[in-house]
Amino acid sequence: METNTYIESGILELYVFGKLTATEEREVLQNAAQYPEIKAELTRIEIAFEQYALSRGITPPPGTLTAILRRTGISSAAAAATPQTSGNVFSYLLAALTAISLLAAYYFYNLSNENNNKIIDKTEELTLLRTGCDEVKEINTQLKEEIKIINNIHTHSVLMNATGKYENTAAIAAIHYNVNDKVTWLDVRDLPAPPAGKQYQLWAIVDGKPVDMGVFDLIPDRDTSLQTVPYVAEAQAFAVTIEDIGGVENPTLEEMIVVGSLG
Amino acid sequence: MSNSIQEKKSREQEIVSLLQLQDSKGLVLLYEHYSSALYHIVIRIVRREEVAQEVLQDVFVKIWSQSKSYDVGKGRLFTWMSRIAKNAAIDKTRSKNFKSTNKTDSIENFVGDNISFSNSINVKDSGLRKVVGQLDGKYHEIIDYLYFKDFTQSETSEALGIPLGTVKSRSRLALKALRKLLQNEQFLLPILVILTGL
Repeated sequence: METNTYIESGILELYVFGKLTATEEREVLQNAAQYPEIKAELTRIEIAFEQYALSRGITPPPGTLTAILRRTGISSAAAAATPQTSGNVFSYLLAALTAISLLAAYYFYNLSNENNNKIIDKTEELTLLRTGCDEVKEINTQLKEEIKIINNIHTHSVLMNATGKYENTAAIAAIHYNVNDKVTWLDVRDLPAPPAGKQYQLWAIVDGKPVDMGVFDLIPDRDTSLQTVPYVAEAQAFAVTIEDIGGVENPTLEEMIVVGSLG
Repeated sequence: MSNSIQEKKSREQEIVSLLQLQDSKGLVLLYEHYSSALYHIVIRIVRREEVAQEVLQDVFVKIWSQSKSYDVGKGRLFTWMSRIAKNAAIDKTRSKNFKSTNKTDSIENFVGDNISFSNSINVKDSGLRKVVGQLDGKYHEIIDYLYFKDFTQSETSEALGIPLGTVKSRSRLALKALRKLLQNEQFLLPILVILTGL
């Protein structure tokens, strides 16, 4: 049985209000006996409703209690010995002190709750700011690194423009070639995603012959578009072709998308 | 659960065991704590003060004599007693001599939703009244129609102009809202109880 749905249906409230048929009432009592969570909820509803009914009480006319006692055969004298607290000074003081300390406890309890919540809020805020800071720092380091690479006097930057049947596309890429440090970086910022099943392959042209520099992927959502690629000595030009995944030995010339020559 | 609930629970247990031992203190305690709430139930149905007083006496005599048949496992004492009160009041309205004289509903006008005419409100009750007073008007209304006015679900749906299913779901929401209000105050109530115990 889906006890939660049963509880949320409002049937327990109607039970407490006495609005169910005898059959329905038996069902509620059976369910309460079988499922502790239904029983617990029922008790909570009973308590809440009881408080409500007590709060809306209307004092009966005087003399009602006396009449009841008379009818049940209890003498008023016996009833007069009711368990009312006959307080002495000490018990008054004790009660007052207890009340004061409870009020104080309530006050400090609230205060400390409030402060705790504030601390939790601020801690969350701090964590968020810290994370943001770290991200900015990382991007900053990357960008600095790129500037260093591009600004190095030994770095030659080669722009590779769209060519062949791709001439009229916006495809463009760049190579930063450093003979001194024997390193090469590829900038793929403005290459479109390759067709499905295809991959870009980079080539260096040495003495008019293509030298494989490996396949590469575009890495989306990166804050930098630079990636290091193998260094090929004596390169005069660079080109990118679209090949089957994994690359090929010799470039498919009609699938050359960008090309650019050094100096 | 809250202190006030525990306090209530132990008081209830005390009253129940006194009643079942047929100790007269139990009856007096019972009257002190529940007579106003039970009187409200009765007077809203019979609608005449002198009849309500008589029915209330019947109710207490019944509770006293049937206390052994009250089963703690089946629900709370107040739920059991309020059923006795309601049935006694309804039985009264069905009796011959009640019908012949029941032409006015003057009590209805002056009881209505107005709870302020009770002249002996102690501090605990007034604290509780304040809390309950914060309850949304439409929740007061649904409880009032279903419980105190003793309308059926479909009569309530008609009277309030809401779908039948809404009667059920609004009852649930009303009690939920009430519980939330009471929970917020659960720490203050025992303090009020102690203060009034002086």
